[in-house]
Amino acid sequence: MLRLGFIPFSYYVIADCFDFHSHKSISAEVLFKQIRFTGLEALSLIFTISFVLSVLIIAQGYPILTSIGQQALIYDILIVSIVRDGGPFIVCFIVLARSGTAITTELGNMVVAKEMDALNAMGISLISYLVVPRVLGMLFSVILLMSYFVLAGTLSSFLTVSLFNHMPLVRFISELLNQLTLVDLIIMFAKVVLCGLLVALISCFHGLKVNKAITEVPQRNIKAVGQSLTIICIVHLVLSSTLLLDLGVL
Amino acid sequence: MNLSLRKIHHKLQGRDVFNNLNLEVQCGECCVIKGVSGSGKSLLFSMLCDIVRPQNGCVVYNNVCLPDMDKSQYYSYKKQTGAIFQLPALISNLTLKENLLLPLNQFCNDLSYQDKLKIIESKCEEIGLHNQLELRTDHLSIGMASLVGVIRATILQPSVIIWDSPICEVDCHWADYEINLIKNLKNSGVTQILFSNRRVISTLADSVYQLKSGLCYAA
Repeated sequence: MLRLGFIPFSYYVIADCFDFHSHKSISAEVLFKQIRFTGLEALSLIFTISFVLSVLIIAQGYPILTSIGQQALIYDILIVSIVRDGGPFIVCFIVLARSGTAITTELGNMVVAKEMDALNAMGISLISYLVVPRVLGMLFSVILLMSYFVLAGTLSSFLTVSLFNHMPLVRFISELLNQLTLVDLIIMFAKVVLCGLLVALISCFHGLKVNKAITEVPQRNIKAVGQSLTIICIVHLVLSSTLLLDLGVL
Repeated sequence: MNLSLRKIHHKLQGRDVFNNLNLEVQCGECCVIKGVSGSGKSLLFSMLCDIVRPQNGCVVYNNVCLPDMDKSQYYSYKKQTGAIFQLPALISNLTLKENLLLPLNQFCNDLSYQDKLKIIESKCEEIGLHNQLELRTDHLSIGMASLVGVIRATILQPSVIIWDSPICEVDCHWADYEINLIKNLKNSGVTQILFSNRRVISTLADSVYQLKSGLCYAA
């Protein structure tokens, strides 16, 4: 279906994102549906994973740190695992598993069912109507999901710490914020935004690359998942390494 | 609104499907194109709807080649051309109403949502689906879905209709509806290009062509 390579395809999509208002009459509905599916319907899953992960980290780490008198380090550990490194990786992975595969399958099936031809015949741009709202929806959603993840992680960490050592919520939050730097937040947003964008582009690209046969859909899905996972790992490694280099750790 | 094909050459997997094919359809003409399976009817349909571009030659709309059109000419071509597919080709994750809103949202930004809804309801009343506007189209039978496809293509009252295999997917009752629709469109001066081997469709035509050996002959 799609004759463009990935780089020109991404260029057209990103350029069209800035022109969203000109085709919002047809694309806005798709954008809202994508945000609902990727951002809102994944809320319980993200909340559960973040909650359990934070409980495990605190339950394992807090007694050990207390035994060596270093309980203040728990905030650093939380920031690394929930905000800066672990959280973004888990969120991107969940977005890929839920929404990336769904996008590739949906677009691929639309090609096979000639729905793309019908859109073409109506003069509706496939990039404006199908790709741009999905990419923007994924971007909004990863930011939303990351916010859920941090909120749920902070809440469950506080509850778990309270089991070991009674502490007011205000104090817990202020200690956490004292350790949190702007760089941590920038790294977190950079990771989720870059990964969200690339996962959405890769998923849409492979969905539109399906030609005629329904058997191409799972094949394209496998390629999309493989490439997206590689990209997620590269983005996380590069951004984390940059930070560590900046801090003089590496 | 005249539509023509000029010197079309097209190969698929090394085989010449069209070899210097020419065709001229005048404004208001009802033209039927026949051909055995594999003769290239669906490919020609896709070229006329600008889903597939020919490797050589061009499709000409109002004396302008499609690739040479500027944005507003192309917009006008798409607005004035309704394509009806053999398969319904409705967007399966949308409801019936959302499917019919697509061309209206694309081309009629001056209409309010309520006005668009009224148009959709009155069109759906013709085929008895006005109470099922919120139904997803994958829940419709093929016959009813293909009628929705007909409505989607005609909802903007285009001046050219390109129709792949009319009356193929519907029962006798709805086949009569589609035949009457073709007659009404013809009387209203709409240019029609119908791809069909059915005799009943040929009887409605002003001109009948046969696709054979990559060329289009008057039948």
